[in-house]
Amino acid sequence: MTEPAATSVAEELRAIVGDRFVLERDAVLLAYQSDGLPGYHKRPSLAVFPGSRDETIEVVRLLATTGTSFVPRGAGTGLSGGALADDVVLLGLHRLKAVLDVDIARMRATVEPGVVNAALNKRLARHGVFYAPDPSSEAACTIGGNVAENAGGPHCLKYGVTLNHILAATVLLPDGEVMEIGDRDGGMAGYDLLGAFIGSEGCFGVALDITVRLTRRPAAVRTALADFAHVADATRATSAIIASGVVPAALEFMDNGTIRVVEESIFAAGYPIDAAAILLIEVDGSEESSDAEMEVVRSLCMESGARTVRVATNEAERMRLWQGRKKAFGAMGRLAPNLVVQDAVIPRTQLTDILAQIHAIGDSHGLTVCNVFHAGDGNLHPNISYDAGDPDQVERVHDAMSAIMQACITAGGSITGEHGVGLDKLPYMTKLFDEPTLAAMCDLRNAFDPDHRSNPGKVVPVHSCREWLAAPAARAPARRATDAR
Amino acid sequence: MHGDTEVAAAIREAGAAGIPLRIVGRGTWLNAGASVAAETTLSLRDDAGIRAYAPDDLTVTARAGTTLRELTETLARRDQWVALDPEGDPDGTLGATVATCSYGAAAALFGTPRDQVLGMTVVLGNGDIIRPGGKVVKNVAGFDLIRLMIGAWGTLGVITEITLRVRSRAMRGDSIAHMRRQMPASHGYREPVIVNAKISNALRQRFDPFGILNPGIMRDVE
Amino acid sequence: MTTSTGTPSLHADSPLAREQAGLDACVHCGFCLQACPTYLALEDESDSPRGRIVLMRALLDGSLPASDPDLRQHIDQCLGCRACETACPSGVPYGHLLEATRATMRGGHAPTFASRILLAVFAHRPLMRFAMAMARLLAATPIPTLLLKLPGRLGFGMAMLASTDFPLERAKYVAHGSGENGSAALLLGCVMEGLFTETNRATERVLRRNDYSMIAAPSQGCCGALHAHAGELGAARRLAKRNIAAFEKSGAQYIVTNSAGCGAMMKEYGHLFSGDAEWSQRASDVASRVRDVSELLAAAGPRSGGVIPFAVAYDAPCHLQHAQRITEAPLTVLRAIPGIELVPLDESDQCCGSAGIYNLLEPETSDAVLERKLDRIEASGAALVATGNPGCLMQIGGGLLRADMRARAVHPVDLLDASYAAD
Repeated sequence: MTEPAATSVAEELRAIVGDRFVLERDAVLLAYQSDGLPGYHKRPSLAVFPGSRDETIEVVRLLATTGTSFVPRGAGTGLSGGALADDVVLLGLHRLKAVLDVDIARMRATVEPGVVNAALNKRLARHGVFYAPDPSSEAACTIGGNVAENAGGPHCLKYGVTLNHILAATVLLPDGEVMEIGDRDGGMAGYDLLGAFIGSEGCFGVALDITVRLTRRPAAVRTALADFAHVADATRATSAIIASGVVPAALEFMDNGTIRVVEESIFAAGYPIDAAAILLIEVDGSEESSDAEMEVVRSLCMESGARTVRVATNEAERMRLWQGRKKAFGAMGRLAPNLVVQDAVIPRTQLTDILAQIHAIGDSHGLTVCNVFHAGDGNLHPNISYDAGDPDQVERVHDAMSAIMQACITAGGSITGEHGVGLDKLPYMTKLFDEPTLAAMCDLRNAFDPDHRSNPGKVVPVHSCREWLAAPAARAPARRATDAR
Repeated sequence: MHGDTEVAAAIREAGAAGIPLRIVGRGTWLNAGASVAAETTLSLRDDAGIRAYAPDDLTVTARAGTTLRELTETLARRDQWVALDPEGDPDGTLGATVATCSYGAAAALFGTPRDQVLGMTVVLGNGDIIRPGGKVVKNVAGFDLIRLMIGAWGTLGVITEITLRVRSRAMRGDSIAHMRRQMPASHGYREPVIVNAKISNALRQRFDPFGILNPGIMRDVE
Repeated sequence: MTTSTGTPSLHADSPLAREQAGLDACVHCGFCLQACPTYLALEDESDSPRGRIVLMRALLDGSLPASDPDLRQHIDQCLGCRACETACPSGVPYGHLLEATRATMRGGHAPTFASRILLAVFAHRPLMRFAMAMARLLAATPIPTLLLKLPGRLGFGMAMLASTDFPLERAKYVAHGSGENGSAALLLGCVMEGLFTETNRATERVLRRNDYSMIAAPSQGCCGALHAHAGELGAARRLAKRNIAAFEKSGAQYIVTNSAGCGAMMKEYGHLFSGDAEWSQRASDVASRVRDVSELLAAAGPRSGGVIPFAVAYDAPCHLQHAQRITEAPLTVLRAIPGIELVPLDESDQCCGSAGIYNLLEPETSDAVLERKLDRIEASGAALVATGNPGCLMQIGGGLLRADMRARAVHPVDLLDASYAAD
């Protein structure tokens, strides 16, 4: 793109959204060069923040007319580099934060994409209902971003991921056309475009509004902290609980490294710092079922070798146990200036083995790997804290992460359970899927965005597309977006 | 038909010759109100059987021609089940249930087939064999071809194998009663109609370039 | 993978370079965004803690000069409320980073003329006394009430003055107590003694009534908080030294303050002199004796008094809630007053936009933040908003007057005092 063209686009954007919400200078774009995974930095050509649905439509239509690529962004809390704009327009949707409708009778709410997950639930609380998916970044992340990533969270074990809780959406396609997908009343007709859109990581356009399914709050919740002297005992307890038929609302694992970091933070939750691992286990439902299931959980933990199982006796204690878990990732900042986190998923029976392998990989690379993850569904989050100023360390971290990913793929797992592919996991896609499957994914994208203008260069390596294979030279501009800076 | 390569060969051959195919499981079920404009049948009834069952991982993988009866009986031996209970004959196939997204009363608590499928093998209209998803319960790697295929009535590809989320029968009803969702009906299926014509037609052209997969079954309403 | 922290190119002695470890603690998770009043009001991440930390890093690694106008604008627009610290899992010491950044930037550019004048007045006791005496005289006339609807800062200043009028009747009583809970010297404070003189006297009364003995510390002065927040660390240290000496001399067990901002500053005197061989230990000793008045009262009970029949909402001063992490003590004080109905106030942990002299220097942002606060107060249905900091009292109080709202802002100590008077 030549300099004058960009300037005139900026001028037209200013006419739509106002001067304050078109950013072009280096200093003011710095804040938008990373998402929640700060190992990557990409400078947008400019950033534009529409303040209403109509402004958003006008902006996207203008970008379509000029053939300009763009990257949608919510709160920038993603952990895959998915919301980075490499010399293309960054389209921030965080100002669209109206809750448009709450319909308790029909158990649904319609929100704009910039509504913050926790803000929606705060608003729903007095009705005794909630929006179930609860990513750890719920205090900051947006529903639009959750839809783009098909976000998960601790309670997805029982309640399901974002896909299972979205009824309909109004989508603005990259060419500027507005389209309704899904059915607010829960009906199903035609191809499941809503299902395809959820988790499309901003590559299929942007949602202008989203209708979510509401769930009634369970009458009772019990949360327990089980404390183990050996990691293998904790994973054995996990398997025993899953096999028992009890479906906990959440079943979270934290290893000693994570426990120590949390206990040093202001979110110290009273975790035992001498434990090799702890499990945070929650069951919910009726008073009777919760007590009965917690009893099953408690005895399975004890049989598996737990030192103690402590059930929170009041809401404050319960929230404290959860705060420690939810803020664990952020708390890793205490260890070293930089942090990488992975998101692989493995079959649950492989947990013990994979954790041992991860430990060995860390050792052989001279790194400490902290594990905090959703044990109940086998969704691992190995974290490595490191100093990016040390090139040798950076290389070892990169090698260790690749080895961990390969181990998970070999175990029959996946490379991402809830964070998305984005930029970070792009290199692993070809290890996980064969060429025809990747080409079919490109075809799906092409139906929504044939020019790959919405979040270019993400999710599927561009060389996997049929068009690329047929005429590589023709796709040269698209390739630039995937190149590391 | 037996196995992915045989299905793929048949589809490639039909594509080259421009012969439309009627894709069926056991052919015992509804015709969804529109007849398929095809003389030749591609039946998956013999491509049956459970390929992998990991009770402790709560996953099962079966060929599309497997009957719901066989699946139910196998899982029941470990006191487990899959939340698929479409109306009609239990000898209907897993492939048909998923391809039509047919659901029954269980959907109010557990969702429709869309919420049960973890991975699948699909043969596309150009003969490509694709394997989206996997065998883990949580997976957001790549664009969601699985949801695209569920309820597409075979018009975007022929599903040959499916990996499902398995549940324990021991789960207590009163621990999940609050999760009950409003469904439009106690049983049903995804309506085979073309909505959002621009995207839907683009998908058909890309996934069924020769127009041979169940032509005519998707009604135009727009 | 690229690096997110560069090699510092600023002089290693710059205040910001010394805070490098604090900068490194940020992992960019974004959990601070929704805690930040300026991000919520301005909707740009450069006006959020995460965005400002990115700017600080750029200043430190030399990719932005201290004179960069965007850098200055976004750093200046920070309220310094430190709500982000309460939301931060990594323990980023944001308040220290902000002060160090402002101090570092002063090398490139002087603060605005208005802020220099204001800070100079605070730093010089005779000037401060004169200014406060003038303000008191003006407050005693009907002029502030007549002019408070004028647009701009003049009108708002008048509203702030008018709001210092205590909305309840002040009956006199003699406070008796055993003194057995220890001795306390009151930090009089510039604005508290200047404009809330009666609240200072009420503070002494309620502490005596709760068995503390009150000791004078005559040579005390400004705590230096406003200077530190503005990055004038030299001036802040000069003022702090005077207070350290004064309170050492008093021999009091506790140094008590009814101004959350002053309390937060004095509790951090140790950090202010870190590395200073002569003053570090003395500063830490004095800091360890500092208490907010609500802490002392809550520790003592407090004693119950007469009925005060009002719906009261508690709004947490940022420097109490986020800087000092005191959340329960003020509520304990309010709950001890018979007749008070404590009504919930949504976002009570969010800044009101006062932030020291911020409301005078950044009026537009301050107004945007205040507007949100007034909306929440309206929704709460409270007749009185209790908050323990002079800046917040005048910001909220002035805002209520200008918006023609019924509610009034009061210091919790004044309510307890009124309760004792009614006993």
